[in-house]
Parts: sequence; C-alpha cells; structure tokens
Amino acid sequence: VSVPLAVVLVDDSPVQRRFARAALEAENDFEVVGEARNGKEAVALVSRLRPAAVLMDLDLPQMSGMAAIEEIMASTPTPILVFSAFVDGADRANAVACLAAGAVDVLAKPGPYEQATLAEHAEVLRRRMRVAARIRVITHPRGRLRSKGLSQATEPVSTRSRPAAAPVEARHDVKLLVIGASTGGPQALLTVLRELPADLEQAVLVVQHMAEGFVPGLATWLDELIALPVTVGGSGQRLRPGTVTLAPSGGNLLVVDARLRVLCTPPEAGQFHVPGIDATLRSVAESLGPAAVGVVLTGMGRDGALGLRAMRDRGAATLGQDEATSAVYGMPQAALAAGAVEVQLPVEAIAPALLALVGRDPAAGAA
Amino acid sequence: MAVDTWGARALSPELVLSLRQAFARELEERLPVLEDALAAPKADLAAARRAAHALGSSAYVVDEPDLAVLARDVEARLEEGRSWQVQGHELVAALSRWTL
Repeated sequence: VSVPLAVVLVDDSPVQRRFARAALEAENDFEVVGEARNGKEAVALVSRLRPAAVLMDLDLPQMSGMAAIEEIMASTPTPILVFSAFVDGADRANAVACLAAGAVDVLAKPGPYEQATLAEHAEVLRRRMRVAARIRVITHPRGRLRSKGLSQATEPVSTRSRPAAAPVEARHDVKLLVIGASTGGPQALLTVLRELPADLEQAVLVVQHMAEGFVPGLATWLDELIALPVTVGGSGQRLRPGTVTLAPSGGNLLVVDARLRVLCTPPEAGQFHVPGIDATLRSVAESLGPAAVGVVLTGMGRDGALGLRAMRDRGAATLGQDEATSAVYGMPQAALAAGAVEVQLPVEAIAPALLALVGRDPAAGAA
Repeated sequence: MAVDTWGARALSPELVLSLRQAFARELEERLPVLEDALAAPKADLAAARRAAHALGSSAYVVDEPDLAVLARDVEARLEEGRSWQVQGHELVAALSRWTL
C-alpha cells in the first residue's frame, strides 16, 4: 500500500478548499495535510510541513499567490500546481507568469460556461497533481534575487555576470536556432533568450509545451523582457532573422524549406505533447541540415530526443540543458541517452554557447 | 447535483452540506464587496470584479448554475467597462436570498 502524498491547499475560498480536498482525497493517493487562506500562511505552512506538492490559488489576501510561489520556490522548493479562476480568458498572462515564477503547472478552476462536469474537473485535478508531485524542483532564482533586493526580470542586462564561453566551435552559415522546452521552460527560455543580442542574424524558433491559448501570453511576456522581438508563428510565414518565433498551440510547426518557411500541421496520431518538439526538430533537420542549432531544455518526458538526434545526424550542432539547472531533467536526459546532445550545459551557459556557435562574441551579450 | 458524480466519498450528504456551508461563509466575505462597489461612487471595481469571478466559480461548485452565470455576467461587464449596476443589484439580491 503506497503512502498518500502530502498536499497543502492554498485558497481563501472555503468552497474551493473543500472541493479540492474532496477531489484530491477521493482515491486515497493524496492527503491534504494543511490549508492556508493567504500567501503568508502558505509560505509558513510549506516551510513547516514540507509537503510533496502545493495547490495554489492566485488571488489571495495579504500576500498574493504569485508572491507566495516566488517565496516558496526560493526558500522551500516544492512542486506547485496553480489552481485559479484567473488564468484563462483575459487573465492568460497570469498563467505564464506563474510558470516563470517556478510553478510547475497551471489549471483553471471550474466555471459555469465549461463543457466538463465537476467530476471531470476533479479527475483532471488529481491527474495533474499526480504529475506535479513527481517533479523534482530546484531553488528558483527570481525569489532568491528578490530577497537580495533584485528581481531577475527587471535587473539590467549589463549588471549580470556572464558565464564563460562554452566549449563549442563556430559553425558557418547557421540560419536558425531552434529550442524545445516543457516543464520549467518559461524561466529557462528567459535565461537563454535575454542574452541574445537585438542584432542577431539568425532566426530563433521556440517550441514550448503549452495548453491551448497560452502561447500568446508567453510571447507577450518574453517580448517585454528580451532584446529580440517575439511573435507567434503561423502557416505560410517565413521565420525572420533576429526574431523569436513561438510555435502556436494546437498543432506542430514545421520548417518546410531552407528559406525558413513554416507550416502548421495537426498533431500526429498518439502525440501527447502539443506543440510537438520532435516534429519541429525533425523538419529542421530535413530542411536545414547543418545550418541550424538545436537545443533541448528542461521538461518532463522524452519529446525532442528523436528530433534533436535527427538534427545531429544531419550535421547540426546540438545542446542540452544539464540536470543541475533543469526543473525537470526528463527531456534533456532522454536526448542525452539518445545520443542527440553534442554538448550538455547549465542553462546560463547555453546562450553564450549559441553565440559562439554563430561566430558572435558571447561576452558582448544582449544589447 | 453535480457533486454526486465525484466518487464514493463525494456521495455523502455530509460533503454536499459542507460545500454549501462553505459557500455561506464565502458569501459573508464577498457579498459586502459587491454591495460596497454598488453603493460607492468611487468604488473599487477591481475588487468587485474579483469577488464576482470567485463567486461564479464557487456557485458552480455548489451546483447553483443560475447564480454562477449571473456572477460571470457581472464580472464580464466590470472587465469590459460596461454598465453593471442592474446586473450587480440582481446578483446581490439573489445571493442575499440564497439559503442552505
């Protein structure tokens, strides 16, 4: 008989706490060991009880859920599943901000206009919590920096120390940098992309696993924080040099020729993650061969491993994030095991390596 | 009721009752926020919007779909800057009449 996983609930609504407790404890694989009604209580409770996971609302009195996420991830790293009424519709940007602050997943509370029944919502909550509680999380930098009086998101680029150049050699004629990420991805993407200069001559394509509708919020968030413009890709477009293009949710974004034209295609039969990283990387391998660089960042599962291997087989340079800096090492580990990763690096060293690969001085960094 | 389909533990009348009792406690906190916003010329509309949104979610959980839809309508009007007083008063009246 397995021991139920300890969970702390954080919500100022007694109805939502009661619903969440009943839903999580219905199949005896979770035990709610504590309830907090505001962010301050949550931080203290998590520090004292050390639960396996936290279910976190966002709109809380005294200390917001977002601030509590940052505090917890800086002091007592714990998998946090955000469960809020303010992460969909006009509030989608909140979902991205939560993930960037260190939460591992975001789920919208049930509401009156949804097709799903309450029972289905309860099942989804249990399933997402099972996944979230298995994730090994690391101390999150934003809260750490904020506790020193600095916010990573607002810290001037010029004040950050730069890691040493990675052990890679410059490639000629690189047209495209393509990056795949999943759980823990938004923060890792920010760490990488904010070091790329505004006059970058290569196009950048990002595939981040994300639920339907959240990609535009991620694009807006990144666009405010990095030097390169950020856009969401669409069928028939060409990827532009010096622009970060995000694969849209709902399907796969394929690069179909060496002029960087892209097409959106439906998910493949049985494809679990959407947008798919493997599909994009395989298309890049076919269309560009050695004229691309592939990167697999933090994430759960194996998506990206086969695609990155295809890129490497076609002569592209390939990088993977290391275990120590990955929120979840699954995807980079699978890529490494598949022989797809040429160089494995801490996340802070990936941008310098990309710049070195395209013949730029990594010390110059973002303008 | 929707909560009847949760599973064996959720079938208990005690759980259904405890959810509705929780909704009654939530009303005590959030209803005054809406009333204040309706009464004051310079009301905190953001707080009113949050209250309407939260009440919409909770009303759905306790199987009060009409209240949930009304709350969401008020929330949408507040979010879009449209007139919301008529619907707000209707929501406050409905919530005030609500009983276990």
